[in-house]
Amino acid sequence: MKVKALILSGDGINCEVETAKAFELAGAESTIVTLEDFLHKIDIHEYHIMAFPGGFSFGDEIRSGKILAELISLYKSEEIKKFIADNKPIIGICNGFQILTQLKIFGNEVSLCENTSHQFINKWVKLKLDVEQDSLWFRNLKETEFSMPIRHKEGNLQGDLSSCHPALNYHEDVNGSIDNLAAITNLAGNVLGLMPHPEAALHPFLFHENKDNYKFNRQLFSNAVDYVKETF
Amino acid sequence: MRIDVYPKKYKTSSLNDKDNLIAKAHSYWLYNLPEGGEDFSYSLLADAVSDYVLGLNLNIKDIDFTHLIQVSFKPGVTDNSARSTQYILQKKFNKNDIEVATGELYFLNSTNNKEDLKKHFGNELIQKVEVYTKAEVLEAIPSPNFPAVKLETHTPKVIELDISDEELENLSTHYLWALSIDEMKFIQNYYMREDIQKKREQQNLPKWPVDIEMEILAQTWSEHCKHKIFGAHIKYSEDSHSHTKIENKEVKGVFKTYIKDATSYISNELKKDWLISVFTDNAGIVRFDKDIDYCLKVETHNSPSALDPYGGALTGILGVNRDILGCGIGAKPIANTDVLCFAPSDYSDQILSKMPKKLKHPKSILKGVHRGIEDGGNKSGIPTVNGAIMFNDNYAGKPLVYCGTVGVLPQSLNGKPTHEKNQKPGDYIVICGGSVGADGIHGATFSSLELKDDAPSTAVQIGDPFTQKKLTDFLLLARDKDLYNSVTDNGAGGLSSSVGEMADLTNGASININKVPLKYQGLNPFEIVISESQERMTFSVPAATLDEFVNLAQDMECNPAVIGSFHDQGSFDIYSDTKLLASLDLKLMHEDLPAMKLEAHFEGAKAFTPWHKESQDQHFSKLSDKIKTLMSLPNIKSKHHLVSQFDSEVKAATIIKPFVQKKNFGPSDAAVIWGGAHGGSEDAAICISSGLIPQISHIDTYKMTEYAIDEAFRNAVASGANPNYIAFCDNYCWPDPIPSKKNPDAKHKLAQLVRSGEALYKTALAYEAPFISGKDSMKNDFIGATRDGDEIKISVPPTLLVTSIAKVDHIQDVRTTDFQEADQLVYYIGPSDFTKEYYHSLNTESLELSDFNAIDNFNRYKNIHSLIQAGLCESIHDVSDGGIIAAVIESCFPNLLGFSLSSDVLKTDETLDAFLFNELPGGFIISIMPEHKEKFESTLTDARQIGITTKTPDITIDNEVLSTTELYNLWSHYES
Repeated sequence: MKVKALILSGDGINCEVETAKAFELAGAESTIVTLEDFLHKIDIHEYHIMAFPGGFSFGDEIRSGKILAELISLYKSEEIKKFIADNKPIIGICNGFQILTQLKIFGNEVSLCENTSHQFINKWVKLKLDVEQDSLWFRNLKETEFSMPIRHKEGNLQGDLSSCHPALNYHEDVNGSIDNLAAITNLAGNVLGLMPHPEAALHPFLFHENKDNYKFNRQLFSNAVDYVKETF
Repeated sequence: MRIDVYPKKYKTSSLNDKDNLIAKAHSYWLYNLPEGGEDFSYSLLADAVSDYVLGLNLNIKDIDFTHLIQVSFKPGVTDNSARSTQYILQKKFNKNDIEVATGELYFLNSTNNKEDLKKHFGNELIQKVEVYTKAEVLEAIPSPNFPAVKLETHTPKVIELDISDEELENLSTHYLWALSIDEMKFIQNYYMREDIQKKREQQNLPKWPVDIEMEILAQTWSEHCKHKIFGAHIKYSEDSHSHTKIENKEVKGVFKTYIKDATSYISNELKKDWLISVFTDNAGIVRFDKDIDYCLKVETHNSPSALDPYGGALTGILGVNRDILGCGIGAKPIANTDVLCFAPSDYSDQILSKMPKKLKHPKSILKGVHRGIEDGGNKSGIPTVNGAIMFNDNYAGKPLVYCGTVGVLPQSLNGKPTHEKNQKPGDYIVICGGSVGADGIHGATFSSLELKDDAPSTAVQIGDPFTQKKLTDFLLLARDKDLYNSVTDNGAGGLSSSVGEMADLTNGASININKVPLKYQGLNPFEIVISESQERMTFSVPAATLDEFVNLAQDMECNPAVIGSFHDQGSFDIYSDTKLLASLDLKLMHEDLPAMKLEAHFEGAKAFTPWHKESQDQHFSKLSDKIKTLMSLPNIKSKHHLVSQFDSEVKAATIIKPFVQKKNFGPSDAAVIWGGAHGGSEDAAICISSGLIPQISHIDTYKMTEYAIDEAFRNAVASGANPNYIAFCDNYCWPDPIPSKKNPDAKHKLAQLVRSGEALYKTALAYEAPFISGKDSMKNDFIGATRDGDEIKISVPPTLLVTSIAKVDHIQDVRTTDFQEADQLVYYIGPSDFTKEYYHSLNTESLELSDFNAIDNFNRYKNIHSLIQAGLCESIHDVSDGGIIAAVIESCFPNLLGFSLSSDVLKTDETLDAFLFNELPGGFIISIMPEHKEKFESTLTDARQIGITTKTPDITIDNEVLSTTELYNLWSHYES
């Protein structure tokens, strides 16, 4: 079967091209869809995977992800709920994670706040997978040490985390997040939100060191594609 | 209603001795909300986890502060936060009259008085700053008034030119036209011609020009747009002096004689068939790939950055991005570069007390520009991949802000080559993007004048990366769908330049000013035509695709407006509906005015004099003290804390990033960008590097130019680029070389320009590397008063930035600067003239410069490239500021290694100091594996092994030992 991935774009989203390529590299067929089409024209249920890429939707005004999340709430709230209930994979990377958080998918009182430094940070981080994490996104990745870049100003995860699962932890405190959390999933495990950018670390020559680690980042995407092939 | 959002947790920071920032809050003023709209607004603007709303769940009396500073925008200034907030509220309530304004609240504990505090926040040119004590706001924080912008409606004014020369000159000054008396007289004579008068009578236009016509001529003839100094005929002479002689001569245009002719020679004689478009379009285009072409443009935004550092830098970046969008049929921006020249951030109180009142503190300029680059690059999704920050006292009057962008074009699209513009008579003129306001009027003419105390606030603008990102998305989609024939950006001069330039290709255009979307009513017709309001592109759209083009633009919320059409009647006509307001002959607009005739005389090397005339003596007893000082110098220290706030990796293509990151960070010599991410070959890349050596301009700009070109070229070679595929962009930022009473040494400064041109030509030919694009900014002076009331002039050092774009044949050729492991052999490869004591970083008074042998250098670079390709080089770092020792220490940082050197490696006529600290150009530090020694040395006969890497992280020079970690801490230390 052809696994179809929907990649959101437009209105300040920046990383749609590399996110689309990440899923293509994993064997999916990626379709980049503008926000206008996403909200008013297309049927999202024709797709198996949905990706909210990184960027600065609506210029990060008010707070990152807020305005785009409000638009989705206005026009597409029920559709998204159904997509999640259908157990289809959703990934939100950086600004995409902020959008999913503002959509309250990880709980009503979860927020990505400003980094404790009040500054944007671009650096490579090492990440550990939470031992109890068994989301479809992380199959066969136990004990893995991931590395990829972070590029954000509002990645400080705070609030009540009882309605989500921890997924990835930074090796050190980079932004003030509870338990150095870099990524979480919903309780069902099909929705992954993460601040670091795996789509920017899929080739060995983009790494500073430990260049073979690109394989783990690729597997993150192929896990979702393989899961869809097995399940739908 | 007003909503003030206060952060629950905020890291308090000390701003200075007297002020502690307790928290920064955001204010929103919402108008015309529907009934019951308050609850949604609270939940929209304040986050349940991280924010309080003042007066709702936090009482202001419970905050511990002494002063509150409220900063809001003045009417008509771009407020991006308000625009986005208004958008979502209007959608939510389906109510289009909801309006929003925003501001910031700073809560402080301060022992300063109100007046002093006011100076430290906001920018009074564009913002309203109010300071309150706690007692004054306990009841409520007073809201500022937000009067709607109301301008009087004007009709075009006739500018009578039958007046005296003196009156002509006054007229030009009064209207900020920056036209010279010769130009004013040229216009006067033109309108006195019988044939012109007859034609105007037939057209029902007044005999004398209307203000629109004068304004358009002022824009198109401005130094900014026309580059009159670069076209001037110059009589050059020189004193007898110790540096390179170039003989007395007449130069018929610096641009033509040196820059353009160098490229023509290299293109024709050396058969560089990869030059696709040079000097004609908004950017230069090269072919380094089988499927795609790359384009490069670098601009400067100095005057706007001096007035409003944030807005100036932001609009600079968005502006050069639009140059790329307007290159050929429309290229996609893929990388930004930023090179910044500032006065030092750490001025003593004594020096600060001498600073002219109107000048901003160098640190606040740095902070503002830095934030502008952060927003400009990050929010646009364009990685900031390369740059430099250069500190020098004489940038105190005008900072230099160089913004560059690399773009990519498919080589052909819809069966047509993409580098050609194809507008045709009959095409519609459509503008898309932002609306036009009074902001950005006279930017082009203003930047053609020196900076004075009384700058107009309309010359200041704030950019809007969000609107431009949407415009970019639309443009690329419309391009791929073949919906337009041609495109160009609206930059300096606004519509008068964009339509004016495009009209040249069809030989005519007419526009109706009533069709131009406005931010508010009441703009003068001439203001609509010349406003540089940002984020707009002008398209040439054929009738067949007009509907589809406009519909797509509307769908993508890009505000399309059909404002006129191109014709071939030889004129640029401006209508108000059917009434002709103004008509300019294109021949007059693009007239080759008689070249300026100028004289240049070189007086030889001069000692460097900082504007404040304070000297800083440095004395060292021990070698280790010297090295520690060296690694802590502002121009050598790490800029990582600043650069890491720029996204350098969006688009997932940045192979070499600004810093190498392993155990520690280390500097990179250049950026390398993967072609495969942009439609190019999977195995290929391009390299972007820069060269900038203004610290020796006072000695000789000839050498400065050789060194700058070499640095850009050498950084590219060090990173793995093929030395046969390197092209340059030149950006000249010079102090005013036009003589006047205020400018007694103009002839010397013009001679410095001629000498730079001579060196540029010779070095480009020797390196077989053409220039493909460039820009010059010739008025980088500040004239004003010191705090004591004395007149002071601060001129920048003559500064040439050379940016290179180079081909990397294979990704495996890419090298970084870091020593990989212990026991590797470390070589210096480069010129060996260590006898002259040229080490500027530690000896700023030296006037000696090393000789420069371009041919030797070029051969060395080709040899090194072949060794890289053979896999023999583990790391490569160029030798520049701080000399060999700084390069070696920096190479030790990332993997926390050591290095040991013995003075036995010196030749008999060399001293250890001169060897370690010499900053002569042309050299590299290369590490190799021991087994490659023989092969390496036999290819590079001038390679000198100077030591080995060690596992113990110590830098050992004979008996002196320095810890790598200690040096790293000095190098990377910063004060926020």
